[in-house]
Amino acid sequence: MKYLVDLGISKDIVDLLDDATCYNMKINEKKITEIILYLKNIGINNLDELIINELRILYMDFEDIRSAFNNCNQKEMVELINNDIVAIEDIL
Amino acid sequence: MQELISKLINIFKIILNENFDENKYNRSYSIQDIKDYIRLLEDDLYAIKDIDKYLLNVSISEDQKRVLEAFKTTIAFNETNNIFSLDELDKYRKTNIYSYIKSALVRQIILLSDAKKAKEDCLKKKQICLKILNFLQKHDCSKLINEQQLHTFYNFINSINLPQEKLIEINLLLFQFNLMANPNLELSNKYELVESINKFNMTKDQAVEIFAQYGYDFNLVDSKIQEELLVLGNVDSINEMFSYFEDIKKEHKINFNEKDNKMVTLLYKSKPDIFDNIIELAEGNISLAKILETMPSVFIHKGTSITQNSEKKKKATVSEQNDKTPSGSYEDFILNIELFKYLGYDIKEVFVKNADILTIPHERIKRNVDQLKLLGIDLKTDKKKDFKLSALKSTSLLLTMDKFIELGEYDYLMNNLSRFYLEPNSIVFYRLFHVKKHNNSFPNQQIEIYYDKNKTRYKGYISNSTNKELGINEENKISGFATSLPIINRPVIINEVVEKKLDDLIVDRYDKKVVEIDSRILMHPVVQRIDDNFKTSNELIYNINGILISRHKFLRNFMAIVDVRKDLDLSEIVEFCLIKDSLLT
Repeated sequence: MKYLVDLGISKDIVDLLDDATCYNMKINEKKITEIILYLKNIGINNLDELIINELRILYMDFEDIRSAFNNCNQKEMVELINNDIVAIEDIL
Repeated sequence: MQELISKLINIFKIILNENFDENKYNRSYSIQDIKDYIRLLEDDLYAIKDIDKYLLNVSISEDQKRVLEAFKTTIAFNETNNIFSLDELDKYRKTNIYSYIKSALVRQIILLSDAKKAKEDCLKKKQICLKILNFLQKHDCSKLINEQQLHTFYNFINSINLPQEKLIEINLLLFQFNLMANPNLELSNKYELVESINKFNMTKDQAVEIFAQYGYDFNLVDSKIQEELLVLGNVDSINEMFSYFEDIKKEHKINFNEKDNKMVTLLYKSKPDIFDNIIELAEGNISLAKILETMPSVFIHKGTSITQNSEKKKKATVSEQNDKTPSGSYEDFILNIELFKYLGYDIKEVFVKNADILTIPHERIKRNVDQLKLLGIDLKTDKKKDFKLSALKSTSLLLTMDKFIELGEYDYLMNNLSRFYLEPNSIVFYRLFHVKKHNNSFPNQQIEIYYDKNKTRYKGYISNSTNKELGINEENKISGFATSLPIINRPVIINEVVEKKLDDLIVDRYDKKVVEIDSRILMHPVVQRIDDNFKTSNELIYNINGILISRHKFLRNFMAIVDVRKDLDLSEIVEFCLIKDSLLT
């Protein structure tokens, strides 16, 4: 799971993931990397919290994620999410 | 078969002779003797001269030894010379020396009660060993040993302290029995096999040939996967899987590719009936291809991860693990989907929005669903159908809830249920504590905690780990806190050893189980008194002079301890149960 650490996620957080989840995330490295880079791009910075509380986002379709962010007030949404990760549940 | 049985008989005979010496648990005095002695000391200080007899196995520090010796000498001297009056001597009872003595004796009690249990345990195991030996000696070698019997052997062997080489030897013998009974062994995670045989099931030529039969090139497969295939695969089942993939190719849009590691892995780790069951379960709601793409681990039986090394698999951290050794989650997937169907969820929704939860161990999900129900959140009937299921992944549901309650943030938790998945030592709690404390001390300079006017979201410096404004981070979060019992000006009766034992009682009774508060405990006079004085309108919360304490925490801890530790004062138990794990200064 080195690629997660390379993308900026803390090693401690990655270590907490269980076996099956790790395998599935490893298989989907490309797709998950795309999602994480997109989120970073629009300004989301609490990726650790994403892994802890909202890991399900990384299993979703990239297109669903992108259209959700395009169909809302993106700037405000990103700010809300950066404050408290659970705000992402409003759109996804 | 006969040879194997004879070997086993010899091994068990040796185990019987070497491992069950009950005499080592005998002592010259009992727990009751010590309790009587403690009571004697209360009345008669002169009894202190016998203390060494009762402290045989307990260690006390050098300082304490010196003080104790001085005390004993004083008492002995006074017995003959009567210089101090009894009143003056009595002052000693109120000092630390006395509490050292008492706590050392209590430790001795604990050690002894362990010994008593250990002795009973030892006798029980000896009986099992004799039974096994009897069985083996009478066994009819024309019959195979069945799985139930093997179970008993495995459990027994792994419950006694054998040296590593012996353990490996026996496990190998039992493994051979298992192989004879079932050639297509599906290993369950109940057995931890240490395999030092690096046997290849297939030759490379066989693999090349069978791949070629279906139009694929074995040499294009990743080398590590190639090796694993040759060790674990066999021609028949790989053939079966290939032909199955051909059958479902069109309808389910499955494509096999030698370079796709997961597809090759499934050739030797999966079976057609697993696929059939998953197809049936998904019932057209989720496509097979999608499941395969998102979570291939569900096509593999749980516990299937055999290492090829001869050493026991070391606990490598996840980020360094050999990523090509998959662990299965088939059973968890099936059971989880059934559970969500039963709770009334739309399976397609669950898969699209909460896919990661489907591979989490089923016991954990079920336990959390049941526990939430006992706390008043019934997922079956509650109209929280937009409930994001992350809370169900929690490994510490109750501890996290306690933390939120004790910081006065119960409402936030109820509005953001996925926060149940926070670890109880998360930095969020430490930050909240400090901010609230600051706000109480400086009412004119309040730090804003909430973000939007609905007050259901936190501000970044509370809940975002990249935010450094408050100056509280992972390294310094714990300093300034005492999360164990505060030690005030009283004799130290509850010391570290006793506290650890209390922890064990709590963990032992409630770890991995759903906690239901026994209605009998609510009738306990102590509980009723506390309820009358401190209960608030929310039955999960106590307010004790302004400090919020989780009532559920108190009740469940009290329930675990009160009947077992009758040697402790009720007030000490109450204090422990109330304060355990609270953030205090």
